[in-house]
Amino acid sequence: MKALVYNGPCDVSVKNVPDAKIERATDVLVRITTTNICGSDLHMYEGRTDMPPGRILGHENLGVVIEVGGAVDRVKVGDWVALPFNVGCGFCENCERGLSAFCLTTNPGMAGAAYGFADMGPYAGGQAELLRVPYGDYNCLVLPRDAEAKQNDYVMLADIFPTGYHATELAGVRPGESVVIYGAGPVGLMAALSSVTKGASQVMVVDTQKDRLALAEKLGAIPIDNTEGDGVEQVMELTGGKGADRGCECVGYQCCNLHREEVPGLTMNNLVASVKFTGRIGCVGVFVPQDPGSKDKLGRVGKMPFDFGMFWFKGQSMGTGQCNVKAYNRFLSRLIEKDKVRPSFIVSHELPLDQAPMGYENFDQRNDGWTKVVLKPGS
Amino acid sequence: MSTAIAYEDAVDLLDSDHKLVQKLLIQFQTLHEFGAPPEDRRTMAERICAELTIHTQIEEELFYPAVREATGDDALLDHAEEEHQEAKDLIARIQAMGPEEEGYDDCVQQLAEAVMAHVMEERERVFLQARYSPLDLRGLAVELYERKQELKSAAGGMPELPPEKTPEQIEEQS
Repeated sequence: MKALVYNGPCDVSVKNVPDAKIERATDVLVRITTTNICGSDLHMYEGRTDMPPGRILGHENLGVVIEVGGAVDRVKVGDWVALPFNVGCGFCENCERGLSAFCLTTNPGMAGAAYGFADMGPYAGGQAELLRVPYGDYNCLVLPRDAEAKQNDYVMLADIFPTGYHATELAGVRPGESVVIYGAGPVGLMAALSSVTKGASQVMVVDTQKDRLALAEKLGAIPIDNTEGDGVEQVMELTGGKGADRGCECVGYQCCNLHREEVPGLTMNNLVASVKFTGRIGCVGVFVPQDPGSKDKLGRVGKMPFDFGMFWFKGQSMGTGQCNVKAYNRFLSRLIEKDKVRPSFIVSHELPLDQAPMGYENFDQRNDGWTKVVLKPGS
Repeated sequence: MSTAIAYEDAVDLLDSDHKLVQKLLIQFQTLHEFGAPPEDRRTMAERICAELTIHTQIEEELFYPAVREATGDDALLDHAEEEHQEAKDLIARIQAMGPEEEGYDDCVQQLAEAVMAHVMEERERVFLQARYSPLDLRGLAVELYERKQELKSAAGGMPELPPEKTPEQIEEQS
């Protein structure tokens, strides 16, 4: 089968690799029709993780089931399925409680597994023609009848829509509250969509990229362009000097200042400054225990300067970590089915798998207009 | 009492060694980045080597043979043992060197890379296969725990760690 393989820093290519297949009786085999490039793929693409060369990337996957293992009951051949990026077992202490991002079975020793992801188990990614899905009955979300026509919407259920929603859950967003979101990338935009859907009274999105801020504005959010004056000051002004009720971090450890220089901790400290006393912050941007590729000495040993004194003084609290997709994907899928939301609005480019390397390059460079790349292995 | 150990199974016990060593290796890297005195770097490196020595020994004596028998996957276990050899060679080199010598920190960094690559592979392959196999990993945890205690006493305990300092304090001290 054809698959997008990571060769080394900023080097990916589409290669012929052995077909994915059923390996255990609980597996499901999916023919991938739609698979996205995610911002977190870029950490791996840039060589800023310990992803070994030779691995297939891709954790935002959707397709049709073509084979099921002997111990699979619920999922049938021909089903259209969206695959949570998390690989969970469904029966460990964490999966039992809905914490599928921290499955104790699928990545022994650690907690949490994913397809084509550094440090998250041996599972191949889905930027390929075929994908093996372990514990298929648990990990497949069987989609409604309009799945084929709305693939670009439903594929967002694999990661970014639930992840954006998770940011608002970690932050505790409730109707009528104000929310400040750092990062207008795909996840930040999904956090904005989720906040609007939840009935937030004021959704502010801070970024430096005009094309992305324009999408936030279309959702009904207030775009805050950090290049046109201090974002924190603008949030304070919009909230009458109090700060937002809730904050979401949707950027991660490679956050940059106006000059595109990485400044670790910048977004977290801006959130502490722009969220109100007693406010809560949800942090879904990726942070890593060690970042050997950082130009920053502290970053290399997994530390960042955090304004903890102010965080404490303001009585703020915070929730962190990867999204437990299974906790939300079924309900979010109904919003798509009933045409309440259309998360495909962020898609800027639809490419055949062969052109994936070009997609990576442009997305990584943050070239104007490249907000979200959707790959179509079948075309 | 040995039956009262908190580790659920052998994988949890062995991976808690991995997590501890990873933490110490990051601390060593911090000492290196911020220019800690040789004595502190040596103490940290000695502790890392001591922990790894016991860890590799209990894996080789008890865990690997049990997994080899249960899975019949010789290639997998041969490879794991080869990786141990790489770590052992590096440990021997570190122990034969002084922290003032050029290349000392490099050597520890090489050990860190080798160990982390091994840990990743062990989690992804050996641990996963062991858990899929009929092996009594719960029972094995008790054996591993007891052997580890024996080896620790025989070694006269673990070397003490250097006093904890912030990166700034490390830098000021140097």
